[in-house]
Amino acid sequence: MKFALVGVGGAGGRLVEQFRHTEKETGRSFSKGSLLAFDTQKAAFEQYSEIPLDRHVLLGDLHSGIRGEGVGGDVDLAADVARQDDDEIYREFDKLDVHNLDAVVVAAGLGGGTGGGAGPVIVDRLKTITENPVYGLGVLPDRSEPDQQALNAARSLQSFVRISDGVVLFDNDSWHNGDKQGPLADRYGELNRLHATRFLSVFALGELDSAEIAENTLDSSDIFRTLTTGGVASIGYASTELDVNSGFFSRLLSKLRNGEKKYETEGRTVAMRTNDLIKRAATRQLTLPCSIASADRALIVLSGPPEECSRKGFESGRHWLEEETGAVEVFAGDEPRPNASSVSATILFSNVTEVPRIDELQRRAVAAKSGTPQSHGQDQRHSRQP
Amino acid sequence: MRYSSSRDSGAGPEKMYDEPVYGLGVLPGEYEGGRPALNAARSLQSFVTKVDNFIAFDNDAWRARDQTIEEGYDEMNKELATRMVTLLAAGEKDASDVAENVMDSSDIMRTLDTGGVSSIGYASSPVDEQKGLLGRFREDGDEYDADEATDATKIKGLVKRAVNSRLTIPCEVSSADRVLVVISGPPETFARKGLESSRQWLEQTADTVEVLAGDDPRENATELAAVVLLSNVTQTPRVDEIQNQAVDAQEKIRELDEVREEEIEDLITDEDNELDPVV
Repeated sequence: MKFALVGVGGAGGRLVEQFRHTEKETGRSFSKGSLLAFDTQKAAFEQYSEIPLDRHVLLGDLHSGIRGEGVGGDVDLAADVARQDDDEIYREFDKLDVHNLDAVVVAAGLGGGTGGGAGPVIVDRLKTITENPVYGLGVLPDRSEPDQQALNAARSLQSFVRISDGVVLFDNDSWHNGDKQGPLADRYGELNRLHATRFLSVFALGELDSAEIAENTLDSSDIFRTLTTGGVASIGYASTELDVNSGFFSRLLSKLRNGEKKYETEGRTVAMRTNDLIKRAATRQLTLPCSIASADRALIVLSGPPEECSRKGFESGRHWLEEETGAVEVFAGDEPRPNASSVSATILFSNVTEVPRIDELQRRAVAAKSGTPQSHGQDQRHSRQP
Repeated sequence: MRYSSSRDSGAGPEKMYDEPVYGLGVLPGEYEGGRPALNAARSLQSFVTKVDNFIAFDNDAWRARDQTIEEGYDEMNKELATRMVTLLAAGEKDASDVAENVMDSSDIMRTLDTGGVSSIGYASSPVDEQKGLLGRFREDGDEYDADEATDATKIKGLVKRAVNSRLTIPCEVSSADRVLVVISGPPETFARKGLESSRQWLEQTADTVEVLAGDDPRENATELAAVVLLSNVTQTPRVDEIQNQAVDAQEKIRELDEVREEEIEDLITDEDNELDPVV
């Protein structure tokens, strides 16, 4: 699928930056350079090297309360500013080649003022210029962020979900193992890379220049169909590095030697490995931890060398996922990459409705609104180690 | 018999041509899930009513444990092609030898002229070259009879195997309306008795008098093959399963549709609705 990429606010811009980097690095040409980064703070643009200068859009530089200095975490102010800059926003949209692309993806940190406030306004305006879906890509605030961010995110999520055609959420907290790995803020770059791998494995499907023709082809219409439910989506991912030495040649050798043993390495058949990979993708770390049983639809992408993609393992993995999610619509496709050194499974869960992290965010938001600060995650983590 | 293939599944060809239009459809496997089953059940209905006969191919019947995705589809296509070619080539008068029991396209058309769903069975075995060629030159008459008997048994065995284990869609053979059997291979391996007893066996097994039998001599063939067309089979467990799966899927889809909006609102709003959206 080809899509335009729009970042709003700091976290959104950094994701666009990372996605663009991954696009160049992996040869998945999905955006064709259709990018925009919106911000209310002039200084934010300094960190970008992949997003060209003419795609940096400063909002509210003439607004009396801002003047290029940001909205100070005020989502309502940011939404106001975006509305006032309507003409400017529409003019910038001309730089996106939306008519030759399948969709638009708007990335934003929901806790930030600009991402959380201007983000939904920009989604709303994009909806007026294209018949194609406009998806949100939202980053939830960390538990260590102030309560105000939780309030922003809880309110912004409502708008994002109602206005866009579906929102894929990233929860950085679930990827962070306490203090051992240092402050979460130091890991944003690394986490964005992990998110990019997951998101692009699904959304940039079929745009790999080197891929062979798949047996079970998935295309943009399958991604649309998976996400037409609207709501919140989460992505699971697992990959296995293939031993290059025991890889191609030994596989070839054993293939020549004996048909029945051809895929038995480490005592496990390729069918078992494929099946395990799909289960791992569904049960390990999701971009947003959630009950996969609450998912409405799902889409599985199996990507790797064709000889590592077992038909039976793939089918039984897909069937297993159908049982686990209780979903009727579980799409599945393969992406043959003949010389790849790894095989991966990526699963998009659409419209997940049991998400403890969102409930927690809402409780904090309500408390923040009524002025009673709650202890947040950071404290809970400390209390685990007396 | 000349035939052309078409990917057009809509209402079209059957109205454009006087010649019969046959459908050839692959049914989704059980493990492909509810949605493909629902699609298949729906399209099967319109397919069967629009074409003159629908030859069904069950994806599940051809799965093997160690296949890769790529191999799985390759093998399935090969199996299907072998059956179709062996069957359709029988009525084709090309440079091959003249058959003793001639079969032409009108026989195949007659067999398929039942409407409904058909299944094709196939079995083959390598030709024993010693017996096949050199054996024929022996002058000993007894030995020749023994060979004739062996060949007859072999052909009947092949036909039984084709019907009992290798059908494109598993079905109750006795529910077939009409049957056509073709033996293809080197003519010296044909035994008239074999073809005749196969035909009788099929009449009993399929419980129909409409069984056509013919041979298709292929001088240099290395295999002796039997292909059996069971026309208008009405008891096919896999079709029933797909229909049940489809009904379940449709019910489930309706349930999901009904609660979707409400569940999304539940997720994005707090319990007491104290939080308001930004936009």
